Amino acid sequence: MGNVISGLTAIVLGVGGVLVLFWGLNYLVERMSKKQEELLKPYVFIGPALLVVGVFLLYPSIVTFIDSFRTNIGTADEAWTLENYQFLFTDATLRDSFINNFIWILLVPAGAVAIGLLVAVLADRLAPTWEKVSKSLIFMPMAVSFVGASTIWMFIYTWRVPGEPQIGLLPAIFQGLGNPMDTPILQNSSFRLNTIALLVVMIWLQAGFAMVLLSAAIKNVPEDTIEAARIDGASEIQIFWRVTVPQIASTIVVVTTTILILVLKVFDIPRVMTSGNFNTNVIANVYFNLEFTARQTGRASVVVVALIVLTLPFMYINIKRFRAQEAMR
Amino acid sequence: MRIARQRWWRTLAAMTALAMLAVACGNGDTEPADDDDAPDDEAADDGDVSEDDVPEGGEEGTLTVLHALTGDTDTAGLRAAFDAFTEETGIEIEETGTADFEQLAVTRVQGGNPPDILLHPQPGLMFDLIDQDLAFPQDDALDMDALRSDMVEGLVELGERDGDFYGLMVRLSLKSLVWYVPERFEAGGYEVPETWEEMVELGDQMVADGQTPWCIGIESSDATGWVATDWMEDIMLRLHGGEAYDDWITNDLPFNSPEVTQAVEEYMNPIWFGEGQVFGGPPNILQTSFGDSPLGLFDENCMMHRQASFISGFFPDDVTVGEDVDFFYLPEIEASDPGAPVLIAGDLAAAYTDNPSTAEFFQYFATPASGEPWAAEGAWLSPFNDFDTSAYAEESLAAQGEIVSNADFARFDASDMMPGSVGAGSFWTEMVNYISRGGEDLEGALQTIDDSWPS
Repeated sequence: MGNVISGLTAIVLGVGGVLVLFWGLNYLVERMSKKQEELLKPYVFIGPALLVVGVFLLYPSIVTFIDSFRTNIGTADEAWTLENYQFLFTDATLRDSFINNFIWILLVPAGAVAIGLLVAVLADRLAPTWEKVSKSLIFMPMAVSFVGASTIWMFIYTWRVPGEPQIGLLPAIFQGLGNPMDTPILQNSSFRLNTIALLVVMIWLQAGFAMVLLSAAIKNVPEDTIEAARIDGASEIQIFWRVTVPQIASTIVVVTTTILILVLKVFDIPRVMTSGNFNTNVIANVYFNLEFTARQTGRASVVVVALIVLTLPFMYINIKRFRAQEAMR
Repeated sequence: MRIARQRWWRTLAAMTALAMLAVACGNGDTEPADDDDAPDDEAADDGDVSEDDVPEGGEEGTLTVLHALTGDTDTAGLRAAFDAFTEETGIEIEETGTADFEQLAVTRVQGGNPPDILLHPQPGLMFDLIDQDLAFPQDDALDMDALRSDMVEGLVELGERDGDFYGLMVRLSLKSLVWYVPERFEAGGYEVPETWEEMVELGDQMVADGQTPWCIGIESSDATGWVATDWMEDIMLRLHGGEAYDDWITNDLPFNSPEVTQAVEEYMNPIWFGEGQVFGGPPNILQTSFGDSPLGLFDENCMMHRQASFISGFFPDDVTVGEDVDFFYLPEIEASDPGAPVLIAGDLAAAYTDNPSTAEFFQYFATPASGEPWAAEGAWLSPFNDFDTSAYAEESLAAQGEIVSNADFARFDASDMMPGSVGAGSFWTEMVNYISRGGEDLEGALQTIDDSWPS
């Protein structure tokens, strides 16, 4: 009960506080002379946003960057160093994590978009009721948290000694077919099989998101372009690749980059399912362990710097796309 | 229209102001009154505590304590001990338990609003915080000579840093135990081994009889691996003795040394990777959670399980320690002669404010009798030599207490003493990698641990 009350007060305070802030500042500015008002008013409205971004985004980023050049932070041995960057480029675990992140980047957006697109196209041809049902089924995992999804998928992957009652779906199927698994899937890192098993969870979660946006885009494709293609004798597959896809290309790019940025931050799924063991570690988990378990803030910071640098190009693409779209309106 | 809107704004502003007031009062007034029950329940449920839930320290007459105990038995015992303290001294204690102890402790102490006292399950973090001049030594509050003679050998030194005393152990757990089902030992004609060598022979005999000797499980979410490091520590103590063990903790005896290699190759490998020795072999070792692994004793999957005293809390409800299941001391290695050691762990109290009440806390818990209410709740061992063993909830605890006081020397869990990047990092992960390779490339694993040692 106490939690509910503090939650509600937090919402009232948060939303109300912001409203009062803008209203109060606006009230003050409006009482000034016309000239001052015109000068100050824009800042009244972007000021608080700038402040929040500065305090919660910019300042920590700068401190993190500075910390990435320091070692033994907070102790008597605190010093400037380049050792963290040496660690960044030479540590074997970290290199493994970068490779894993790369596999995630390669497969998750592609997988989610492919499944989302397939469902969107096929569902488009169903009767309205079945379209709704099938779309809802695909969309449902979107409402599940990463940790929840990992727990759900543990019931698929969990392995028991061959011959014992299996509690995981996949090993149970293999055992039922008389061919029990010798190695648990999550421990099997040959061909990064376990990393792939983990990233399937993310695809399962994100396919719904891709489907919703792509479905909307497909429904926006002008019917006459498709009809014209049909009259010209194009097959359905040709229509899809040559007429539909080019017209929804911008949506595909936005969906891909959005999922991609999410994938760069992946943390929960490996942490819950393997704790990063068996060659499944990812950068964000490495950061967490360095900062909070090993308490090596310098090394943790350098990992974050690397992550930011990796994210920047994708952010740039996304923002550029967004601007281009806005300009078209 | 315009008037109406203005009135709406005014109402909103008034409401917000009221809400602010309510929150401000809420924090100040309600906490101490409700606190006896509230934080404990939370802690017992899931250990999910946010930073705001831990009260700030520094107020005389009240002590705030942050600890890592979240199990029902543990929290009940802690509360019983603290209630007795409050009765004796009149000092109130607000305690909070969390599974995220390390993160929360670091944020609070380094952030400048520490609780008065932390109960450290891992001394490594305490040493880090002492080195950052954040902890307060307690030498002046205590009679150190008396304490030295009262406590189990080595425990006072454990709480010292650069000659000052900071950490007082309030709870001890014994790691050097092997659990077994006496009935099945009898049926097989097996006897409790007196030496490590006998234990290995017994295992081979069991394999020959078609039994699986051991159940081992090292999965423990982000702490996966500690069961393996515990085994290694027990072997290091038995093989090379206390001094080499201490050198190992500080990396003066490196991981790639012949001593450590010998411990793994000659004593760990035959059990962990021997044909038919462990139920399910390496894949099962890696994926079975430490809490589930003893269940093999009762499912008749295996005959023995090495684990600390606390593991009895993970046994099925209908199992009685001393009847259905029993334990023996993980025996000494006959081929080596450092004496009979015990590997222990425990919680160390350290002060992070100069609140005058902390001195009374340390004086009170520096007496053996202070643990009696806790002992009555069970799953607790006293860090004092002359603790009244009749105070223990179960006879088995008294027997464990006896193992501790009969030991020639005691050492704390080495991985908890090593720097975090090793003891809670590479040591765990490299053991996991080594086991997943089925015992291949030990040299590479040990070298990687050495390389990760902070300069």
